[in-house]
Amino acid sequence: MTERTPSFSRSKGLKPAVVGVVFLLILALPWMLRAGLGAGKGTYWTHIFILIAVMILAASSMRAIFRTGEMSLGTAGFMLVGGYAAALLTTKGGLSPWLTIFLGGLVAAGIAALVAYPFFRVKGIYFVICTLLLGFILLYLAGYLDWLTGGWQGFQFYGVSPKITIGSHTITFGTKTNLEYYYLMVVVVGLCLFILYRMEHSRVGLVWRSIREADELAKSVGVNVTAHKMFIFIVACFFTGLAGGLYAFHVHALSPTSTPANVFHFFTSIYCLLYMVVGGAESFFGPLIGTTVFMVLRELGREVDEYWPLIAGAVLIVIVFFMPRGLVALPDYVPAWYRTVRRLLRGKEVGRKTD
Amino acid sequence: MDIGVQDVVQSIINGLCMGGTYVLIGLGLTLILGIMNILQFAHGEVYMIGAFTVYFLCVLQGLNLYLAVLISMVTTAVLGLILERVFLRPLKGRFLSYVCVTTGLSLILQTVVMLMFSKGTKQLPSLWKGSFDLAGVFISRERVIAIVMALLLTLALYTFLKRTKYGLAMIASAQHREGALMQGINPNVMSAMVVAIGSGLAAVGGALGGSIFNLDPYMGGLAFMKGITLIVIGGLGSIPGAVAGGLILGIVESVLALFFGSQMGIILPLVLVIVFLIFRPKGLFGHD
Repeated sequence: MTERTPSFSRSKGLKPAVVGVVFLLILALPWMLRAGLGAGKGTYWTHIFILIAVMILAASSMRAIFRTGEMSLGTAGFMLVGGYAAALLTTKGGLSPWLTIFLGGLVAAGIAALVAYPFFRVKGIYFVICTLLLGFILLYLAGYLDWLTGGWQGFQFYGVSPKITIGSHTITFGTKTNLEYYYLMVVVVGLCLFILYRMEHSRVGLVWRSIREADELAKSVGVNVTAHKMFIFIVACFFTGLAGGLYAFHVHALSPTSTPANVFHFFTSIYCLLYMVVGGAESFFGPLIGTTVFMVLRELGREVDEYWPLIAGAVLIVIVFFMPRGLVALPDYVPAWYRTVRRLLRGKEVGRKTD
Repeated sequence: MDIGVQDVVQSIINGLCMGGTYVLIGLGLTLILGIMNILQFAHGEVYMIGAFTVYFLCVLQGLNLYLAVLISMVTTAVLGLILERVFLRPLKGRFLSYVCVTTGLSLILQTVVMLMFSKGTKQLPSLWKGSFDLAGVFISRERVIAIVMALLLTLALYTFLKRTKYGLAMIASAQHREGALMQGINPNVMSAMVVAIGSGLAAVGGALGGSIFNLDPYMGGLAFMKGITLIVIGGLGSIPGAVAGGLILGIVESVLALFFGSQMGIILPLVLVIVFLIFRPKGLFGHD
């Protein structure tokens, strides 16, 4: 059922120098954008990178569930729950945004906890169906419960932002320059990714892997398969809800409409799947690279935006067929292709594929 | 609002007719799931393409409607054959790849259709204008056609599966892939056939749905959801189950819509599916 897992050369450990450079680049990014593109465009691109951070968190959560071999397509639904819960608790409950973004994640995790046990009675494609339908149910409920959510018109709460007051100085995360919110995203998403990374590279990560490779065998040596699946599902949904809350406090406008442009629509789940697979579902950095590359490319190609789903779908299929390990494995693929082409040019028979 | 017996009867009959179109989508999905063990995420788009082919032939080219439906059925079946051969067959047994490839296909097909046809509401001409009046209950004739065609096609499919060599081979392949292989049944031929048949049926479903609702490149998504709903209710891989599931779904939806509004008519069946999957995964007619 699962993809073959090649041993992955770069997962042995990260070089501190590389990590440092990437970290500095991430910190300097908004300033580089402002310097390179001017203040207006730089601000817009900072906004794009905030959205990229949201989707990275969602896609990484999806991949965390996939570590146990199950695929959840409920991402958009859990983002919706997190986003709405955070926004409503702040505007109607009067709580601080800091608390409500966290609570949004908890509410999403709570819903995940409610459905996790029944959902994990089935597996494979049936689990996919369950999560897919749950996403739709949550979307429709958000429109249906109009006394709570503002119904199909959506819900706006401009001007409400997380703030920190140090002495007499107040920092608002949500100014016109987007800078504060960008750094907030860097910190929060970075922390979440760190937690996910540590979990995956701990003993529990090995257990997930054993479940994915052979769940019956894992069960036979005493692994509580359902409990582990439930645990990661709930944790991942917490992070997905958190992503939704962070999104809500950035755009300040939520909508339950079922148009593909709405971030809470089922398409977001599909795109998360796409980012994960295009980047490389085997590697922790796959969703990060996939999301960044895809969303930046989409932004650069705004003129051909109506073709975008076509391009995205085609790229997804090409990746599945020709680069099943995704973009992160590009350094391994290119030499292999080069060898194949060279052999073809020499007129020799092409040997077995390298993967 | 006062809801009388007549309204309930009316909505049951409407739901029954809607169920007819759902059955045609569900049959393809359930066959593909049963024989190839994959969920065809692009099946809703196949349905949509069936509807748009009829629109193209009938409205834009002026062909006879019934002839257009027939041609659409054949071309969509050929499309299904191509999809199976090019995209699905090379992926044998890889779950994530199937999900990715079929969702990728659905994105591509949606965009292609969206770019090929201009924006604006499109509707197919009515299959049969007017309505019957049975003691105050109105049944539009196109809906009658919808359910009659759905039942006829299902009957044809059922006869094919039970009475012909290829049909029996298909059932064998669905029941036990390796066993069928040892009897000399080529699973690739079976997969190709099942996708072609399923796509053809979905195209007719699209034509029927398109004469009741407006056409739109995203109409496949909702149709796909209905398809999943009914095959889970009826039992995965079961043809009588798909028929019963489709009709039940149609009725439940329209009665719920009458009492609680159309949104609940969409939400509650989805909840029902989750309940079914968890407590009775084999559905009403499944056996396993």
